[in-house]
Amino acid sequence: MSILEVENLLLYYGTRKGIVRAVDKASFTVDRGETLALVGESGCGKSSLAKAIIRVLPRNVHTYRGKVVIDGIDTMKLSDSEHRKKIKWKKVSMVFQGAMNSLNPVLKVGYQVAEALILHSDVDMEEALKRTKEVLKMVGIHEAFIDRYPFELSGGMKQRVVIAMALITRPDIVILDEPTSALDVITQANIMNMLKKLKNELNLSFLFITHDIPLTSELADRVAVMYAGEIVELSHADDFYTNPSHPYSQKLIASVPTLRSDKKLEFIPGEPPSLINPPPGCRFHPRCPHAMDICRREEPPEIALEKGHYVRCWLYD
Amino acid sequence: MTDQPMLKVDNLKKWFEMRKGFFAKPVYVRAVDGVSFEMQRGEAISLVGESGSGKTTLGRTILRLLEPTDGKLIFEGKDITHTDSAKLMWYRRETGLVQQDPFGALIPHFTVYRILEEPLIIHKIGDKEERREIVYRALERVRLLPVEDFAVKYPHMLSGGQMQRVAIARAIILNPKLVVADEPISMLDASVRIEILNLMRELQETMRISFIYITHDLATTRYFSEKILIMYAGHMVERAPTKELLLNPLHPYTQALLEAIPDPDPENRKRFRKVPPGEPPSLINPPPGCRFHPRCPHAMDICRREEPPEIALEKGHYVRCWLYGKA
Repeated sequence: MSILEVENLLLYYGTRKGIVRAVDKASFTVDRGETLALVGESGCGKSSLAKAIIRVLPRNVHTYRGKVVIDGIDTMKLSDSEHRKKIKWKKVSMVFQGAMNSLNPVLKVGYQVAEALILHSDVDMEEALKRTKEVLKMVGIHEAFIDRYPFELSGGMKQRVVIAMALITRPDIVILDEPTSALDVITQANIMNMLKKLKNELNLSFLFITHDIPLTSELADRVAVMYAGEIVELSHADDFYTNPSHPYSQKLIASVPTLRSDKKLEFIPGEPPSLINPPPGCRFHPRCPHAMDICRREEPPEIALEKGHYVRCWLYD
Repeated sequence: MTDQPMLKVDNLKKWFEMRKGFFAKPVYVRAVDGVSFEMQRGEAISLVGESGSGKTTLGRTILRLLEPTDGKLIFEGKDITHTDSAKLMWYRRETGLVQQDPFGALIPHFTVYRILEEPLIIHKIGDKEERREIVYRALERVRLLPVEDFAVKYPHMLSGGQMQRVAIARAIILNPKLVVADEPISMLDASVRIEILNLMRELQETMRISFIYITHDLATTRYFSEKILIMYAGHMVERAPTKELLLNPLHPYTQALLEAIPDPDPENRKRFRKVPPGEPPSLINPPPGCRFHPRCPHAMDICRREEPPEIALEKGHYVRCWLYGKA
């Protein structure tokens, strides 16, 4: 059963230069205990999609519609206050990009972790303390650190604290936005080990957002590729790395340097398009080696290749 | 020519003084603590380490943007360790720097043309016409075409990859022999990174420029360099030809680094990585003996007491680890 269902989700921003179509017709599901990785280059709309799911929106939203069903609740039908009471942090929580650098320097770590719980549920202080210790242990931090301040922690430990904040309310799905991007590779591997353990032990679902394709293979059961505001391919991890279908996914994988095998690296000529004036038809067509006439005219529909494998490309029509 | 190396770095140290109060005794951050290696003309080497390992400081010290605390720095037979920076203008012409952040490295109110002309003016090269020629040729070399269009642009009108090309053009405009590229691609998107690496590789071949490629990303080094140097907490713990180092890493830290880096493989999600816990030590009070010993799975008694020497093995492979013999 899916814990998260997203259907035709739109998030446009209004700016002085025009309407930015950050997320356009995104549809996917995430099952309980499953991790979906969302990959794409900077500016492709992956963080916007995450914010649209948890409903943390900037002020200049122009259009926000579609369907977001979390644990059977159609959240788009809820008012902001109902959403805050029932959904945000209770059912879905998020580790924001760079959050480890936004810890409050004058508050103790324990308080900052417990805060989400105190604000979002009716628990007494004793229970909150117990849960804080519990969740810190889960992320591999000794309970003595409850009374420490953020400056006493290393980068890896701060990142663990931020993950603890997202877990303390026992949500069903956690959105991880570049959870290791500022960390060293060995620390990153330690954090990924911890996330794997949490995934196995708590049967937790993750939406794992990153630009780092090799890193997605550490956690993802399925992979969604985003390009210029659209999800262009959704595939099982077992196929994705060896056999991507969309020309953009193919190029992206071919551009990843590998440590253990020799291959000729490719790059994608050109730049991603503006989200204000995306090209007509398929948004990738100006950079696509297989572009046909129809690609320049008509937007490709979502084409199902097999169960759970979708691609938006006219080549598969 | 004899086989004298172009650059010789001998037991180089760069310590930064820090005072925790006016009357307090100064303490030292030992960012680079006894590094030795040699480099030939036209060679590309990668300097790999995590944040705080001293790799950036080493790069800046080699360019003599910083004065070494101790050790020797010899470029083409000339000792430049403590030469006054006013007398180093010739060395500035022989060297170039590409920084990590192209957004911060280019002066925002200069056009691309002006940015590239600046070093020529400072070094009093050519008249206006000749300088134009040199600037255009540099833009051609980094493939910002058509050059006339790019020359009049300001940095904010360029993409990240294009900005980094301008930074590279500036680094090579004086025909240097050595360029230090400090994380030149870490802020760029995956699809652009390879283009920039290929470009540097091409310049290395066509202009015989030696590159020191500073990075935290071991995976890209195999596409760029002939040699890899690994730094940990101010020490160079291992150096070897690229293929040799990647196939046969000897230092436990290098082994951990390789273990930590995933290749895209769906099997990854089913296993845990055997990486050491903890994080690199403080450079103010580094642990005695080998600096990696608190995290090392093979730590022995001697590792806690004595600093391992650099041990030379076959195939140009050097390692600083007690596992590979005694001094």
